[in-house]
Amino acid sequence: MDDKSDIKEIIRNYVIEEFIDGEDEISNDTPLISGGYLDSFSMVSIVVFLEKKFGIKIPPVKVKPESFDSVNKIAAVINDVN
Amino acid sequence: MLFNSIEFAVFLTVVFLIYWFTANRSLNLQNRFILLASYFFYAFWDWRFLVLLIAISIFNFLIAIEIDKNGTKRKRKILLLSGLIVDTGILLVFKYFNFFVDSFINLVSLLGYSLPKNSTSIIVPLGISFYSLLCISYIVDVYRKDIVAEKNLENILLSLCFFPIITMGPIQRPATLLPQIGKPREFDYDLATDGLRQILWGLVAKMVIADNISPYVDSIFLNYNSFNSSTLLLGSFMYMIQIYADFSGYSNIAIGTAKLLGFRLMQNFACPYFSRDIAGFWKKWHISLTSWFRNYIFLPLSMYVTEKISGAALIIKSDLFAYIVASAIVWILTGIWHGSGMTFLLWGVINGAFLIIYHAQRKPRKKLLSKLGTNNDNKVIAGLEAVITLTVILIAWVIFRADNITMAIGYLHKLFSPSIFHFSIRDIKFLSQGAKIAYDMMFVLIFLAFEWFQRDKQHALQFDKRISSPLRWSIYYCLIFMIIYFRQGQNDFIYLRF
Repeated sequence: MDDKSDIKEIIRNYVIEEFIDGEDEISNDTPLISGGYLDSFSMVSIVVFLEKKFGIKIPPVKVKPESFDSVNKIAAVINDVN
Repeated sequence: MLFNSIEFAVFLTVVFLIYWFTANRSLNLQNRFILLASYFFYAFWDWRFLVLLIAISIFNFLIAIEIDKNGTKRKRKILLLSGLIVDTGILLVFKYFNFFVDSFINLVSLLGYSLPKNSTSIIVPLGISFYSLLCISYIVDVYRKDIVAEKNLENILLSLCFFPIITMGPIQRPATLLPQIGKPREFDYDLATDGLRQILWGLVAKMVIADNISPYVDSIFLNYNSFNSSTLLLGSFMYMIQIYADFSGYSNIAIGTAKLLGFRLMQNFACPYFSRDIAGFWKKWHISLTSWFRNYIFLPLSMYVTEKISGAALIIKSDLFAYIVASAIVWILTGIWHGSGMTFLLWGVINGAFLIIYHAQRKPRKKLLSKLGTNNDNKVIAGLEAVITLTVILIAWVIFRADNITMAIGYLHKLFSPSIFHFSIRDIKFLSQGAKIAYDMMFVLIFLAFEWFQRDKQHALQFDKRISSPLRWSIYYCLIFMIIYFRQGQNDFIYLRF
Protein backbone atom coordinates (compact mmCIF):
# COMPACT_ATOMS: atom_id res chain seq x y z
CA MET A 1 0.00 0.00 0.00
CA ASP A 2 1.23 3.48 -0.91
CA ASP A 3 1.97 5.88 1.94
CA LYS A 4 -0.55 8.54 3.03
CA SER A 5 0.70 11.39 0.85
CA ASP A 6 0.76 9.12 -2.19
CA ILE A 7 -2.81 8.03 -1.51
CA LYS A 8 -3.96 11.66 -1.37
CA GLU A 9 -2.06 12.45 -4.57
CA ILE A 10 -3.68 9.50 -6.37
CA ILE A 11 -7.17 10.53 -5.20
CA ARG A 12 -6.66 14.19 -6.11
CA ASN A 13 -5.34 13.36 -9.57
CA TYR A 14 -8.26 11.04 -10.21
CA VAL A 15 -10.80 13.66 -9.09
CA ILE A 16 -9.19 16.37 -11.27
CA GLU A 17 -8.84 14.09 -14.28
CA GLU A 18 -12.38 12.72 -14.12
CA PHE A 19 -14.61 15.35 -12.59
CA ILE A 20 -13.12 18.82 -12.82
CA ASP A 21 -14.11 20.32 -16.15
CA GLY A 22 -12.77 23.84 -15.83
CA GLU A 23 -9.54 25.23 -14.41
CA ASP A 24 -10.45 25.20 -10.69
CA GLU A 25 -7.65 24.44 -8.23
CA ILE A 26 -8.33 21.47 -5.99
CA SER A 27 -6.52 21.11 -2.67
CA ASN A 28 -6.76 18.24 -0.19
CA ASP A 29 -9.29 20.25 1.83
CA THR A 30 -11.46 21.60 -0.99
CA PRO A 31 -15.09 20.68 -0.25
CA LEU A 32 -15.85 18.34 -3.13
CA ILE A 33 -19.52 17.47 -2.59
CA SER A 34 -20.76 20.61 -0.81
CA GLY A 35 -18.61 22.60 -3.29
CA GLY A 36 -20.50 21.03 -6.20
CA TYR A 37 -17.54 19.18 -7.77
CA LEU A 38 -18.74 15.66 -7.00
CA ASP A 39 -22.20 14.14 -7.15
CA SER A 40 -23.74 10.70 -6.66
CA PHE A 41 -22.19 9.34 -9.87
CA SER A 42 -18.72 10.62 -8.93
CA MET A 43 -18.97 8.90 -5.54
CA VAL A 44 -19.70 5.55 -7.19
CA SER A 45 -16.82 6.09 -9.65
CA ILE A 46 -14.38 6.96 -6.87
CA VAL A 47 -15.35 3.87 -4.85
CA VAL A 48 -14.88 1.59 -7.88
CA PHE A 49 -11.55 3.28 -8.68
CA LEU A 50 -10.22 3.05 -5.11
CA GLU A 51 -11.26 -0.58 -4.70
CA LYS A 52 -9.44 -1.52 -7.90
CA LYS A 53 -6.41 0.65 -7.31
CA PHE A 54 -5.73 -0.39 -3.72
CA GLY A 55 -7.28 -3.87 -3.78
CA ILE A 56 -9.60 -3.04 -0.91
CA LYS A 57 -13.31 -3.40 -0.20
CA ILE A 58 -15.04 -0.26 1.06
CA PRO A 59 -18.11 -1.27 3.12
CA PRO A 60 -21.34 0.38 1.85
CA VAL A 61 -21.92 1.98 5.30
CA LYS A 62 -18.71 3.99 4.77
CA VAL A 63 -19.93 5.38 1.46
CA LYS A 64 -21.54 8.58 2.74
CA PRO A 65 -21.43 12.11 1.30
CA GLU A 66 -19.81 13.39 4.56
CA SER A 67 -16.95 10.90 4.13
CA PHE A 68 -16.29 11.89 0.51
CA ASP A 69 -16.36 15.67 0.89
CA SER A 70 -12.59 16.21 0.46
CA VAL A 71 -9.45 14.39 -0.63
CA ASN A 72 -8.40 14.19 3.05
CA LYS A 73 -11.70 12.61 4.06
CA ILE A 74 -11.58 10.06 1.24
CA ALA A 75 -8.01 9.17 2.27
CA ALA A 76 -9.26 8.70 5.85
CA VAL A 77 -11.87 6.21 4.59
CA ILE A 78 -9.09 4.19 2.91
CA ASN A 79 -7.02 4.25 6.08
CA ASP A 80 -10.04 3.08 8.12
CA VAL A 81 -10.66 0.20 5.75
CA ASN A 82 -7.05 -0.89 6.10
CA MET B 1 -53.94 25.97 8.69
CA LEU B 2 -51.98 26.99 5.61
CA PHE B 3 -48.71 28.90 6.04
CA ASN B 4 -50.27 31.75 4.02
CA SER B 5 -53.35 32.07 6.26
CA ILE B 6 -54.33 34.49 9.02
CA GLU B 7 -54.85 31.48 11.33
CA PHE B 8 -51.20 30.52 10.92
CA ALA B 9 -50.02 34.09 11.55
CA VAL B 10 -52.00 34.14 14.82
CA PHE B 11 -50.83 30.62 15.76
CA LEU B 12 -47.17 31.46 15.10
CA THR B 13 -47.36 34.72 17.06
CA VAL B 14 -48.89 32.99 20.09
CA VAL B 15 -46.39 30.10 19.90
CA PHE B 16 -43.47 32.51 19.54
CA LEU B 17 -44.51 34.61 22.57
CA ILE B 18 -45.22 31.67 24.89
CA TYR B 19 -42.10 29.82 23.68
CA TRP B 20 -39.65 32.65 24.41
CA PHE B 21 -41.38 34.38 27.31
CA THR B 22 -43.03 31.61 29.35
CA ALA B 23 -41.72 28.21 28.26
CA ASN B 24 -38.09 29.35 28.24
CA ARG B 25 -37.54 28.38 31.89
CA SER B 26 -36.18 24.99 30.89
CA LEU B 27 -35.33 23.03 27.76
CA ASN B 28 -37.86 20.33 28.67
CA LEU B 29 -40.64 22.86 28.96
CA GLN B 30 -39.69 24.46 25.63
CA ASN B 31 -39.60 21.10 23.86
CA ARG B 32 -42.84 19.94 25.45
CA PHE B 33 -44.55 23.17 24.43
CA ILE B 34 -43.35 22.92 20.81
CA LEU B 35 -44.46 19.28 20.74
CA LEU B 36 -47.97 20.23 21.89
CA ALA B 37 -48.06 23.16 19.46
CA SER B 38 -47.01 20.79 16.64
CA TYR B 39 -49.76 18.30 17.49
CA PHE B 40 -52.29 21.15 17.69
CA PHE B 41 -51.11 22.37 14.26
CA TYR B 42 -51.47 18.85 12.81
CA ALA B 43 -54.84 18.23 14.47
CA PHE B 44 -56.09 21.55 13.07
CA TRP B 45 -55.67 20.01 9.60
CA ASP B 46 -57.17 16.63 10.44
CA TRP B 47 -57.29 15.34 14.02
CA ARG B 48 -58.19 11.78 12.89
CA PHE B 49 -54.68 11.05 11.68
CA LEU B 50 -52.94 12.43 14.74
CA VAL B 51 -53.21 9.01 16.40
CA LEU B 52 -51.51 7.43 13.37
CA LEU B 53 -48.68 9.98 13.50
CA ILE B 54 -48.13 9.40 17.23
CA ALA B 55 -48.33 5.60 16.84
CA ILE B 56 -45.76 5.57 14.01
CA SER B 57 -43.44 7.83 16.01
CA ILE B 58 -43.63 5.59 19.11
CA PHE B 59 -43.12 2.48 16.98
CA ASN B 60 -39.94 3.90 15.42
CA PHE B 61 -38.71 5.10 18.82
CA LEU B 62 -39.02 1.55 20.21
CA ILE B 63 -37.59 -0.19 17.13
CA ALA B 64 -34.55 2.12 17.16
CA ILE B 65 -33.88 1.34 20.84
CA GLU B 66 -34.12 -2.39 20.13
CA ILE B 67 -31.74 -2.08 17.14
CA ASP B 68 -29.30 -0.18 19.32
CA LYS B 69 -29.50 -2.74 22.16
CA ASN B 70 -28.98 -5.85 20.07
CA GLY B 71 -25.44 -6.88 19.37
CA THR B 72 -25.94 -9.55 16.72
CA LYS B 73 -26.05 -8.44 13.12
CA ARG B 74 -28.88 -10.84 12.29
CA LYS B 75 -31.20 -9.53 15.03
CA ARG B 76 -30.42 -5.93 14.12
CA LYS B 77 -31.20 -6.65 10.48
CA ILE B 78 -34.52 -8.33 11.35
CA LEU B 79 -35.51 -5.36 13.52
CA LEU B 80 -34.54 -2.89 10.79
CA LEU B 81 -36.51 -4.85 8.19
CA SER B 82 -39.57 -4.93 10.49
CA GLY B 83 -39.33 -1.16 10.87
CA LEU B 84 -38.93 -0.61 7.14
CA ILE B 85 -41.87 -2.90 6.31
CA VAL B 86 -44.16 -1.01 8.71
CA ASP B 87 -43.00 2.48 7.59
CA THR B 88 -43.19 1.77 3.87
CA GLY B 89 -46.29 -0.40 4.32
CA ILE B 90 -48.23 2.46 5.91
CA LEU B 91 -47.10 4.80 3.12
CA LEU B 92 -48.11 2.31 0.43
CA VAL B 93 -51.49 1.53 1.96
CA PHE B 94 -52.55 5.11 2.53
CA LYS B 95 -51.03 6.67 -0.57
CA TYR B 96 -51.44 3.97 -3.21
CA PHE B 97 -54.36 1.79 -2.03
CA ASN B 98 -56.86 3.51 -4.34
CA PHE B 99 -54.45 3.24 -7.27
CA PHE B 100 -53.81 -0.48 -6.68
CA VAL B 101 -57.51 -1.31 -6.37
CA ASP B 102 -58.48 0.73 -9.46
CA SER B 103 -55.61 -0.81 -11.47
CA PHE B 104 -56.68 -4.30 -10.42
CA ILE B 105 -60.30 -3.63 -11.45
CA ASN B 106 -59.11 -2.26 -14.83
CA LEU B 107 -56.83 -5.27 -15.36
CA VAL B 108 -59.63 -7.72 -14.60
CA SER B 109 -61.96 -5.85 -16.96
CA LEU B 110 -59.34 -6.13 -19.72
CA LEU B 111 -59.49 -9.91 -19.27
CA GLY B 112 -63.22 -9.79 -19.94
CA TYR B 113 -64.49 -9.99 -16.35
CA SER B 114 -66.25 -7.21 -14.55
CA LEU B 115 -65.87 -6.14 -10.93
CA PRO B 116 -67.88 -3.47 -9.07
CA LYS B 117 -66.25 -0.03 -9.00
CA ASN B 118 -64.01 0.76 -6.03
CA SER B 119 -66.24 2.36 -3.44
CA THR B 120 -63.62 2.44 -0.64
CA SER B 121 -61.61 5.59 -1.11
CA ILE B 122 -58.81 6.00 1.44
CA ILE B 123 -58.00 9.55 2.54
CA VAL B 124 -54.26 10.24 2.47
CA PRO B 125 -53.02 11.50 5.87
CA LEU B 126 -51.39 14.91 5.62
CA GLY B 127 -47.59 14.80 5.40
CA ILE B 128 -47.38 10.99 5.31
CA SER B 129 -44.95 11.04 2.34
CA PHE B 130 -42.66 13.27 4.37
CA TYR B 131 -42.79 11.79 7.87
CA SER B 132 -42.49 8.21 6.51
CA LEU B 133 -39.11 9.21 5.04
CA LEU B 134 -38.09 10.80 8.36
CA CYS B 135 -38.93 7.55 10.20
CA ILE B 136 -37.02 5.42 7.68
CA SER B 137 -33.94 7.64 7.83
CA TYR B 138 -33.98 7.53 11.65
CA ILE B 139 -33.97 3.75 12.04
CA VAL B 140 -31.49 3.29 9.16
CA ASP B 141 -29.10 5.81 10.77
CA VAL B 142 -29.35 3.93 14.09
CA TYR B 143 -28.80 0.61 12.30
CA ARG B 144 -25.72 2.00 10.52
CA LYS B 145 -24.51 3.32 13.91
CA ASP B 146 -24.33 6.86 12.53
CA ILE B 147 -26.37 7.92 15.58
CA VAL B 148 -27.41 6.26 18.83
CA ALA B 149 -31.10 5.63 19.48
CA GLU B 150 -32.76 8.53 21.27
CA LYS B 151 -33.86 7.53 24.78
CA ASN B 152 -36.17 10.50 25.33
CA LEU B 153 -39.55 9.73 23.75
CA GLU B 154 -40.62 13.39 23.65
CA ASN B 155 -37.54 14.31 21.62
CA ILE B 156 -38.34 11.67 18.99
CA LEU B 157 -41.99 12.67 18.88
CA LEU B 158 -40.92 16.27 18.29
CA SER B 159 -38.33 15.42 15.63
CA LEU B 160 -41.02 13.55 13.66
CA CYS B 161 -43.81 16.13 13.97
CA PHE B 162 -42.07 19.54 14.26
CA PHE B 163 -44.80 21.82 12.87
CA PRO B 164 -42.71 23.85 10.37
CA ILE B 165 -41.78 20.64 8.52
CA ILE B 166 -44.59 18.15 9.18
CA THR B 167 -46.77 18.97 6.16
CA MET B 168 -44.28 19.33 3.28
CA GLY B 169 -40.74 19.17 4.61
CA PRO B 170 -37.88 20.05 4.30
CA ILE B 171 -37.16 16.39 5.08
CA GLN B 172 -34.89 17.25 8.00
CA ARG B 173 -33.47 13.92 9.13
CA PRO B 174 -33.83 13.27 12.89
CA ALA B 175 -30.04 12.73 12.90
CA THR B 176 -29.62 16.47 12.28
CA LEU B 177 -32.70 17.72 14.19
CA LEU B 178 -32.27 15.68 17.41
CA PRO B 179 -29.00 17.39 18.43
CA GLN B 180 -30.78 20.76 18.13
CA ILE B 181 -33.76 19.51 20.15
CA GLY B 182 -31.43 18.29 22.90
CA LYS B 183 -29.48 21.56 23.15
CA PRO B 184 -30.64 24.59 25.21
CA ARG B 185 -31.81 27.39 22.93
CA GLU B 186 -31.30 31.06 23.71
CA PHE B 187 -33.16 33.74 21.77
CA ASP B 188 -30.93 34.82 18.87
CA TYR B 189 -32.05 38.20 17.52
CA ASP B 190 -30.10 37.91 14.25
CA LEU B 191 -31.42 34.40 13.56
CA ALA B 192 -35.00 35.45 14.35
CA THR B 193 -34.91 38.54 12.11
CA ASP B 194 -33.32 36.50 9.32
CA GLY B 195 -36.20 34.04 9.81
CA LEU B 196 -38.74 36.86 9.46
CA ARG B 197 -37.11 38.05 6.24
CA GLN B 198 -37.12 34.49 4.90
CA ILE B 199 -40.83 34.14 5.75
CA LEU B 200 -41.52 37.44 3.97
CA TRP B 201 -39.74 36.25 0.82
CA GLY B 202 -41.60 32.94 0.99
CA LEU B 203 -44.94 34.74 1.24
CA VAL B 204 -44.04 36.97 -1.74
CA ALA B 205 -43.12 33.90 -3.81
CA LYS B 206 -46.35 32.11 -2.92
CA MET B 207 -48.91 34.92 -2.76
CA VAL B 208 -47.61 37.41 -5.32
CA ILE B 209 -45.98 35.11 -7.86
CA ALA B 210 -47.35 31.54 -7.69
CA ASP B 211 -50.98 32.39 -6.87
CA ASN B 212 -51.19 35.13 -9.50
CA ILE B 213 -49.88 33.05 -12.39
CA SER B 214 -51.76 29.91 -11.35
CA PRO B 215 -55.07 30.91 -13.14
CA TYR B 216 -53.19 31.41 -16.47
CA VAL B 217 -51.52 28.01 -16.11
CA ASP B 218 -54.81 26.30 -15.25
CA SER B 219 -56.57 27.95 -18.18
CA ILE B 220 -53.82 27.13 -20.70
CA PHE B 221 -53.52 23.49 -19.62
CA LEU B 222 -57.29 23.03 -19.55
CA ASN B 223 -57.82 24.52 -23.02
CA TYR B 224 -54.49 23.63 -24.62
CA ASN B 225 -56.21 22.53 -27.84
CA SER B 226 -57.58 26.01 -28.45
CA PHE B 227 -54.34 27.92 -27.93
CA ASN B 228 -51.46 28.85 -30.19
CA SER B 229 -48.09 27.09 -29.62
CA SER B 230 -46.48 30.29 -28.39
CA THR B 231 -49.21 30.51 -25.71
CA LEU B 232 -48.52 26.89 -24.72
CA LEU B 233 -44.85 27.82 -24.40
CA LEU B 234 -45.86 30.71 -22.15
CA GLY B 235 -48.07 28.33 -20.13
CA SER B 236 -45.26 25.83 -19.59
CA PHE B 237 -42.84 28.61 -18.67
CA MET B 238 -45.40 29.97 -16.21
CA TYR B 239 -45.87 26.54 -14.64
CA MET B 240 -42.11 26.23 -14.28
CA ILE B 241 -42.14 29.48 -12.31
CA GLN B 242 -45.36 28.65 -10.43
CA ILE B 243 -44.15 25.33 -9.04
CA TYR B 244 -40.81 26.86 -8.06
CA ALA B 245 -42.36 29.94 -6.40
CA ASP B 246 -44.97 27.79 -4.69
CA PHE B 247 -42.64 25.14 -3.25
CA SER B 248 -39.58 27.28 -2.60
CA GLY B 249 -41.97 29.83 -1.05
CA TYR B 250 -43.34 27.16 1.27
CA SER B 251 -39.79 25.99 2.14
CA ASN B 252 -38.68 29.54 2.93
CA ILE B 253 -41.65 30.02 5.27
CA ALA B 254 -40.92 26.67 6.96
CA ILE B 255 -37.20 27.39 7.41
CA GLY B 256 -37.90 30.96 8.55
CA THR B 257 -40.49 29.74 11.08
CA ALA B 258 -37.97 27.26 12.50
CA LYS B 259 -35.40 30.08 12.78
CA LEU B 260 -37.87 32.10 14.87
CA LEU B 261 -37.85 29.19 17.33
CA GLY B 262 -34.06 28.87 17.30
CA PHE B 263 -33.78 25.89 14.89
CA ARG B 264 -31.67 25.75 11.73
CA LEU B 265 -33.12 23.60 8.96
CA MET B 266 -31.40 22.52 5.77
CA GLN B 267 -31.76 24.61 2.62
CA ASN B 268 -34.34 23.07 0.28
CA PHE B 269 -33.81 25.19 -2.86
CA ALA B 270 -30.78 27.05 -4.20
CA CYS B 271 -31.98 28.84 -7.37
CA PRO B 272 -32.16 25.60 -9.40
CA TYR B 273 -33.20 27.23 -12.71
CA PHE B 274 -29.86 29.02 -12.90
CA SER B 275 -28.03 25.69 -13.28
CA ARG B 276 -26.14 24.98 -16.48
CA ASP B 277 -26.76 21.20 -16.43
CA ILE B 278 -29.29 18.69 -15.14
CA ALA B 279 -26.96 17.41 -12.41
CA GLY B 280 -26.62 20.99 -11.14
CA PHE B 281 -30.40 21.43 -11.25
CA TRP B 282 -30.99 18.35 -9.09
CA LYS B 283 -28.38 19.48 -6.59
CA LYS B 284 -30.48 22.61 -6.07
CA TRP B 285 -34.11 21.48 -6.40
CA HIS B 286 -35.91 19.95 -3.40
CA ILE B 287 -32.50 19.26 -1.87
CA SER B 288 -33.88 17.46 1.19
CA LEU B 289 -35.69 14.88 -0.98
CA THR B 290 -32.86 14.33 -3.47
CA SER B 291 -30.30 13.94 -0.68
CA TRP B 292 -32.64 11.51 1.11
CA PHE B 293 -32.91 9.35 -2.02
CA ARG B 294 -29.14 9.60 -2.54
CA ASN B 295 -28.27 8.55 1.02
CA TYR B 296 -30.87 5.84 1.60
CA ILE B 297 -31.57 4.34 -1.84
CA PHE B 298 -29.03 5.37 -4.49
CA LEU B 299 -25.73 4.82 -2.65
CA PRO B 300 -26.62 1.48 -0.98
CA LEU B 301 -28.13 0.24 -4.24
CA SER B 302 -25.20 1.29 -6.42
CA MET B 303 -22.74 -0.30 -3.94
CA TYR B 304 -24.77 -3.51 -4.09
CA VAL B 305 -24.77 -3.50 -7.91
CA THR B 306 -21.03 -2.73 -8.00
CA GLU B 307 -20.34 -5.72 -5.78
CA LYS B 308 -22.56 -8.03 -7.84
CA ILE B 309 -20.98 -7.10 -11.19
CA SER B 310 -17.41 -7.15 -9.88
CA GLY B 311 -15.29 -9.07 -12.41
CA ALA B 312 -18.13 -9.38 -14.94
CA ALA B 313 -17.44 -8.52 -18.60
CA LEU B 314 -19.47 -5.41 -19.46
CA ILE B 315 -19.55 -3.24 -22.54
CA ILE B 316 -19.60 -0.11 -20.38
CA LYS B 317 -17.55 0.79 -17.30
CA SER B 318 -18.79 -0.81 -14.09
CA ASP B 319 -19.34 2.54 -12.32
CA LEU B 320 -21.54 3.77 -15.17
CA PHE B 321 -23.45 0.47 -15.21
CA ALA B 322 -24.08 0.67 -11.43
CA TYR B 323 -25.11 4.32 -11.83
CA ILE B 324 -27.59 3.50 -14.61
CA VAL B 325 -29.25 0.68 -12.64
CA ALA B 326 -29.41 2.61 -9.35
CA SER B 327 -30.51 5.84 -11.08
CA ALA B 328 -33.29 4.11 -13.01
CA ILE B 329 -34.72 2.66 -9.79
CA VAL B 330 -34.27 5.88 -7.80
CA TRP B 331 -35.96 8.05 -10.43
CA ILE B 332 -38.88 5.67 -10.84
CA LEU B 333 -39.30 5.82 -7.04
CA THR B 334 -38.91 9.62 -7.01
CA GLY B 335 -41.60 9.88 -9.68
CA ILE B 336 -44.11 7.66 -7.89
CA TRP B 337 -43.31 9.23 -4.53
CA HIS B 338 -45.10 12.30 -5.92
CA GLY B 339 -48.18 10.29 -6.86
CA SER B 340 -49.48 7.12 -8.41
CA GLY B 341 -50.29 8.65 -11.83
CA MET B 342 -48.37 7.68 -14.95
CA THR B 343 -47.43 11.33 -15.51
CA PHE B 344 -45.29 11.33 -12.33
CA LEU B 345 -43.64 8.07 -13.36
CA LEU B 346 -42.82 9.48 -16.81
CA TRP B 347 -41.53 12.71 -15.24
CA GLY B 348 -39.15 10.65 -13.07
CA VAL B 349 -38.02 8.52 -16.03
CA ILE B 350 -37.26 11.62 -18.15
CA ASN B 351 -35.18 13.21 -15.40
CA GLY B 352 -33.35 9.94 -14.71
CA ALA B 353 -32.67 9.34 -18.41
CA PHE B 354 -31.33 12.87 -18.90
CA LEU B 355 -29.04 12.49 -15.90
CA ILE B 356 -27.70 9.18 -17.25
CA ILE B 357 -27.07 10.76 -20.66
CA TYR B 358 -25.37 13.69 -18.95
CA HIS B 359 -22.96 11.44 -17.05
CA ALA B 360 -22.32 9.13 -20.02
CA GLN B 361 -21.28 12.05 -22.27
CA ARG B 362 -19.13 13.90 -19.74
CA LYS B 363 -15.82 12.24 -20.42
CA PRO B 364 -16.06 12.11 -24.24
CA ARG B 365 -17.14 15.75 -24.20
CA LYS B 366 -14.17 16.73 -22.04
CA LYS B 367 -11.84 15.07 -24.56
CA LEU B 368 -13.62 16.71 -27.49
CA LEU B 369 -13.44 20.17 -25.91
CA SER B 370 -9.75 19.65 -25.18
CA LYS B 371 -9.15 18.75 -28.86
CA LEU B 372 -11.01 21.92 -29.86
CA GLY B 373 -8.69 23.91 -27.61
CA THR B 374 -11.34 24.95 -25.11
CA ASN B 375 -12.89 23.68 -21.87
CA ASN B 376 -16.04 23.71 -19.83
CA ASP B 377 -15.55 27.33 -18.75
CA ASN B 378 -16.39 28.45 -22.31
CA LYS B 379 -19.32 30.88 -21.97
CA VAL B 380 -20.99 29.89 -25.28
CA ILE B 381 -20.96 26.21 -24.34
CA ALA B 382 -22.26 27.03 -20.85
CA GLY B 383 -25.10 29.11 -22.33
CA LEU B 384 -26.08 26.41 -24.83
CA GLU B 385 -26.01 23.78 -22.14
CA ALA B 386 -28.22 25.90 -19.86
CA VAL B 387 -30.79 26.35 -22.67
CA ILE B 388 -30.89 22.59 -23.39
CA THR B 389 -31.24 21.84 -19.67
CA LEU B 390 -34.09 24.32 -19.23
CA THR B 391 -35.86 22.89 -22.30
CA VAL B 392 -35.74 19.35 -20.90
CA ILE B 393 -36.88 20.56 -17.48
CA LEU B 394 -39.73 22.46 -19.12
CA ILE B 395 -40.86 19.35 -21.05
CA ALA B 396 -40.69 17.30 -17.85
CA TRP B 397 -42.79 19.91 -15.97
CA VAL B 398 -45.47 19.85 -18.70
CA ILE B 399 -45.78 16.08 -18.14
CA PHE B 400 -45.79 16.57 -14.36
CA ARG B 401 -48.57 19.18 -14.58
CA ALA B 402 -50.77 17.36 -17.11
CA ASP B 403 -53.84 15.53 -15.80
CA ASN B 404 -52.90 12.39 -17.73
CA ILE B 405 -50.51 11.05 -20.37
CA THR B 406 -52.88 11.82 -23.25
CA MET B 407 -53.03 15.46 -22.20
CA ALA B 408 -49.23 15.59 -21.77
CA ILE B 409 -48.58 14.18 -25.25
CA GLY B 410 -51.26 16.41 -26.80
CA TYR B 411 -49.82 19.51 -25.12
CA LEU B 412 -46.23 18.74 -26.13
CA HIS B 413 -47.26 17.83 -29.67
CA LYS B 414 -49.00 21.15 -30.09
CA LEU B 415 -46.24 23.05 -28.29
CA PHE B 416 -43.56 21.96 -30.77
CA SER B 417 -45.30 23.14 -33.92
CA PRO B 418 -44.44 26.05 -36.30
CA SER B 419 -46.95 28.38 -34.62
CA ILE B 420 -44.53 28.58 -31.67
CA PHE B 421 -43.05 31.61 -33.45
CA HIS B 422 -46.43 33.37 -33.85
CA PHE B 423 -47.52 35.50 -30.95
CA SER B 424 -51.30 35.43 -30.49
CA ILE B 425 -53.01 38.58 -29.22
CA ARG B 426 -56.33 36.68 -29.21
CA ASP B 427 -54.95 34.14 -26.70
CA ILE B 428 -53.58 36.82 -24.41
CA LYS B 429 -56.90 38.71 -24.47
CA PHE B 430 -58.65 35.46 -23.56
CA LEU B 431 -56.27 34.85 -20.66
CA SER B 432 -56.18 38.30 -19.14
CA GLN B 433 -58.54 41.15 -18.43
CA GLY B 434 -56.72 44.37 -19.33
CA ALA B 435 -53.02 44.58 -18.56
CA LYS B 436 -53.00 42.20 -15.58
CA ILE B 437 -50.88 39.61 -17.37
CA ALA B 438 -48.26 42.28 -18.11
CA TYR B 439 -48.06 43.22 -14.41
CA ASP B 440 -47.84 39.58 -13.40
CA MET B 441 -45.04 38.88 -15.88
CA MET B 442 -43.22 41.99 -14.65
CA PHE B 443 -43.45 40.64 -11.08
CA VAL B 444 -42.08 37.30 -12.29
CA LEU B 445 -39.10 39.06 -13.87
CA ILE B 446 -38.45 41.11 -10.71
CA PHE B 447 -38.73 37.92 -8.63
CA LEU B 448 -36.22 36.12 -10.88
CA ALA B 449 -33.89 39.13 -10.82
CA PHE B 450 -33.88 39.13 -7.01
CA GLU B 451 -33.20 35.39 -6.99
CA TRP B 452 -30.36 35.85 -9.50
CA PHE B 453 -28.60 38.66 -7.64
CA GLN B 454 -28.96 36.83 -4.32
CA ARG B 455 -28.26 33.35 -5.70
CA ASP B 456 -25.32 32.73 -3.36
CA LYS B 457 -27.44 33.44 -0.28
CA GLN B 458 -29.85 31.19 1.60
CA HIS B 459 -32.74 33.41 0.53
CA ALA B 460 -33.19 36.55 -1.55
CA LEU B 461 -33.65 38.95 1.39
CA GLN B 462 -30.33 38.09 3.04
CA PHE B 463 -28.73 41.42 2.12
CA ASP B 464 -25.11 42.43 2.42
CA LYS B 465 -24.15 45.37 4.62
CA ARG B 466 -23.50 47.29 1.38
CA ILE B 467 -27.28 47.71 1.02
CA SER B 468 -28.20 50.67 3.18
CA SER B 469 -30.78 50.36 5.93
CA PRO B 470 -33.34 52.77 4.31
CA LEU B 471 -33.13 50.83 1.04
CA ARG B 472 -33.60 47.50 2.84
CA TRP B 473 -36.62 48.77 4.76
CA SER B 474 -38.09 50.27 1.57
CA ILE B 475 -37.81 46.84 -0.06
CA TYR B 476 -39.50 45.14 2.93
CA TYR B 477 -42.38 47.63 2.93
CA CYS B 478 -42.78 47.31 -0.85
CA LEU B 479 -42.96 43.53 -0.54
CA ILE B 480 -45.50 43.71 2.30
CA PHE B 481 -47.58 46.12 0.22
CA MET B 482 -47.41 43.75 -2.75
CA ILE B 483 -48.62 40.83 -0.60
CA ILE B 484 -51.55 42.86 0.73
CA TYR B 485 -52.50 44.40 -2.61
CA PHE B 486 -51.87 41.54 -5.06
CA ARG B 487 -52.70 38.42 -3.03
CA GLN B 488 -55.27 36.10 -4.57
CA GLY B 489 -57.22 34.65 -1.65
CA GLN B 490 -55.83 31.67 0.18
CA ASN B 491 -54.64 28.95 -2.17
CA ASP B 492 -53.26 25.50 -1.30
CA PHE B 493 -49.60 24.75 -1.85
CA ILE B 494 -48.99 22.40 -4.81
CA TYR B 495 -46.87 19.94 -2.81
CA LEU B 496 -49.56 19.56 -0.15
CA ARG B 497 -51.18 16.91 -2.32
CA PHE B 498 -48.00 14.80 -2.34
